[in-house]
Amino acid sequence: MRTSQLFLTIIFVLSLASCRKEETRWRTEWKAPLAQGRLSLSNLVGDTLLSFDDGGLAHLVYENQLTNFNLDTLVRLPDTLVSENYSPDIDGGPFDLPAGITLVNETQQSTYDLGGAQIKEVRVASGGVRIELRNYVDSKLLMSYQLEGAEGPQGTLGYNIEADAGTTQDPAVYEDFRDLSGYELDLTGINGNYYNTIAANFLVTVGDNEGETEIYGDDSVVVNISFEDVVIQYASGYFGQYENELQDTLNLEVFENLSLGTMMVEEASLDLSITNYVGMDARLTFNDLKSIREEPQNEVSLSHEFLGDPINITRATENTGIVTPSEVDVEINEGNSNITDFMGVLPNKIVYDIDLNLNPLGDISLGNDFLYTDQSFETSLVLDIPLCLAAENIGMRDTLELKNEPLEDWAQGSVYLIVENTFPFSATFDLSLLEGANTQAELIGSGEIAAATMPVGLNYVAAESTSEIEIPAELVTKIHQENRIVLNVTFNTAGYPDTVKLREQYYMDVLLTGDIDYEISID
Amino acid sequence: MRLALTKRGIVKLAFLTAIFVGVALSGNSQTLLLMSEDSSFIDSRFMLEVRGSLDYRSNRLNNEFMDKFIVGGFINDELKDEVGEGNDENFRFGGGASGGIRFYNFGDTIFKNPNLGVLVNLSSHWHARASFTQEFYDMAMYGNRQFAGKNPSLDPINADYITWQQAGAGIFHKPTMSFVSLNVINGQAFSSMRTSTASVFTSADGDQLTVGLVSELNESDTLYSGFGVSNGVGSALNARINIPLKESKGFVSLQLQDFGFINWNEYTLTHRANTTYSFTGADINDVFSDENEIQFPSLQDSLFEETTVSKQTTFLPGRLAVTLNHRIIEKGFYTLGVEFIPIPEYIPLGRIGYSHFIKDKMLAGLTAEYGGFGNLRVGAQFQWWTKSNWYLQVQVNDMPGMFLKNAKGRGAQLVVSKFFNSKDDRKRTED
Repeated sequence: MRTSQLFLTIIFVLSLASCRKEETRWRTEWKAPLAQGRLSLSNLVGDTLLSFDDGGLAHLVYENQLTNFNLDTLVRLPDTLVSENYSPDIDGGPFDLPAGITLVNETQQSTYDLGGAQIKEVRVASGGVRIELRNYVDSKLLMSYQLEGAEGPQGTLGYNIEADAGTTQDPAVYEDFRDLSGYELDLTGINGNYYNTIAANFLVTVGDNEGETEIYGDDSVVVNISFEDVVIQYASGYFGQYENELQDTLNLEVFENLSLGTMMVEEASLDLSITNYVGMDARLTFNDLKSIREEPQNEVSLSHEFLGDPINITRATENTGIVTPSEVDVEINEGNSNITDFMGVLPNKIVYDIDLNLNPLGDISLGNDFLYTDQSFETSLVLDIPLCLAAENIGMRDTLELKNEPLEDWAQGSVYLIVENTFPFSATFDLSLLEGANTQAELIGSGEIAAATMPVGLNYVAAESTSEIEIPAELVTKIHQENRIVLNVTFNTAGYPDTVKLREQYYMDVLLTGDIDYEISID
Repeated sequence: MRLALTKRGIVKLAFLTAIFVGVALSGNSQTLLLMSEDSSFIDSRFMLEVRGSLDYRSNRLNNEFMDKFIVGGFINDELKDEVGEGNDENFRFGGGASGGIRFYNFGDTIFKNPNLGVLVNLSSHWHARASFTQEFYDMAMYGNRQFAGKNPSLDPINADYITWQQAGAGIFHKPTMSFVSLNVINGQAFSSMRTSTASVFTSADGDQLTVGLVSELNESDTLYSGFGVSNGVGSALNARINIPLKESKGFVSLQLQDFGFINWNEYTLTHRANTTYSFTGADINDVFSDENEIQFPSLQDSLFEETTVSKQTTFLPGRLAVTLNHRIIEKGFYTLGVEFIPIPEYIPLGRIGYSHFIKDKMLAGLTAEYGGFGNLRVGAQFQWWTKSNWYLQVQVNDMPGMFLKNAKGRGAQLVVSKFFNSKDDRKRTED
């Protein structure tokens, strides 16, 4: 081997020796806090749902809108307003007419069928009117279309055009679209004694044809007027008698995470509040109000005297645009219903069936009904459950997602849960690995939290519990892969079926520590 | 759990980078030329020298431990115990590597002096060093479980890493191969950590971790990295003065290497920590929040609260060396030398050695060194000036370290040179 080749070989071998092969790893042992804090009722139930009375007793208060009747259908303007063919009031021809001579001057009232409603006035929220003028006359014309009784942000509603000459086969066509937002339309006609009536004037005169016009008696001009996407904001008149049945479902997320078991509540109440913002008398009939638990399946129909009996609600009043609604409240409590059973199923749905009848006595306002379509009927529900309860095997489930890179280097270890509990209920819990979509797989560990004992005045004596969850290496590997853990907790109140009261001052101090073998790796 | 990341960063800075970097051996460069009776190399037209060196050394980290960082693998408890036990001295560690070429033009005449010529050089350098306490080692390698209920002081912890390239030109004295060169420096990257206070308190039941830290971490622009990237510029002076002794008894060599600085650009980062941070775990309420996602706070972010960006200047790890090579018999001479690098981790290095001409142009020697980043080690060198005017120099400064797992360092230097167009070459060509 030549000397130079030897040197190159040495350099090459030294270069190879410097190549890295794998990660550097070593095992360490760490003791560290993972999580801690105080859990109050607010944390367990949610601030927005919880309130406390003067005695410190916790109340679960849930408010929602049961339904909001949509009464838009009561007032709908027709799509086509006008579609007319006009001819000059002459016979024969051709006539050489000077500019300015009137060919058509028509004021026309059109009355529409609005399904039994007799509307005097509407205010448009959005939408517009499309106007099309066609000139089939072989002369230039001045054409003017004016919608009577229309006032809005742009003033009156009209369309003036100097139309070019057209022919029978090839008319001169002019189109325009006017935004009707904010316009008020008077539907009482020219003399104010009609309803559902729109009046309009159409004027056609001869234009400047530089001395040459040829107009025949059978020449024509055409007017097409149509509403487009008109949404009514306000209407007045008489809306007729209206009946509607509404069957719908309210999702009740407040109990969504609870499952199984039996819960007895005391002094629960349900307030139904029905508010009428419409200038029409109304009659509401609650045919059914049912609480449903889907898993495990259970349902209870509310039993109360108001169910099946019509509730009459007088009309709202209006003064210079300010509406004063009328309101009816229905209180449902233990004394007048089976509300305890109704709530005892821990419903996640409430199904209801309501009949609505407007103007049940006919046109007693003499055509002075009114309607603001964005606000009609509101039926709100306020559920108040004082947390004075007895619970047996009430379950709660939560999914925890672990998203921290260092956790991936856990090798094995133990997790300790230390709880100081002043709540008068005990709990058992288990942590399981969550695989795939939501399949609960291998059990990671479980433990118990003891109930506070021996009431002292309004308080209970705290009970301390320690649970150790040992996590072997194989399980850590699976946790790394899935990264999701499901926590199942089952609660039992002390001395079930005796009820206990959950108060504002109760808490659960939780300390979660880890004694972890951790593998450090360096690339 | 970002503690692990911080720890990882420190360990990485202290250990890993040094695997690939090292302090170039100053050694017995070109002693064969100067101690040989043949001075014909002066008549060369020019000489091209390629050199590379790799060295790492510690007073406590052994080669088996270091190998785990070089080639990877699992560091078991036995190895951690072996490194960590039986010594209370703070850990010191340093290493480096360099590679480059140097061109000597023997055909020049400078300042009308035929003994002076021009040299140019191009090279790349890596250097890393660290020092830390026994408690820091125990915390990093074993974790904090053994410290439950205790508050160990981990400080001081220092670590430095720098890599740069340099290009320079200078003049050299042909008979003695003395030279002075001025170099332009391209600063590729650096990081430096100075921790004056570091403590980790672990409560007995593990419900609290309290970290106290007074530290400053500087690093060059992290956006641009890789060989040859420029994050700073500077200059450096290299010089070697070889002073012959009377009656050809040898020579005294004074060497100044990497005496310079780098001005790092305006994107250089400084992270400062002066805080005590208590970690009591994530808020348990987050477990019950709608997010359903448990996030631990970043310990690194919590501790290094202040980060600024500005230009900075750092000095190169310059070295001053004095070496005496003194002939004691016709074919042999001894070497005495000392080296200084003005950094805390480096203790003055002493060297003693003996070299022997086993042929007219073949030299072998043994050396013993103490100091620097390590303790006592025994090395060897071999130099060979071939008939075809190749010049090979191989030096290993820790022979046992090349083979023993419990030795505490390794290092080697390889120099390959070629003299071109000497009178002998021309004569052989003519023949």
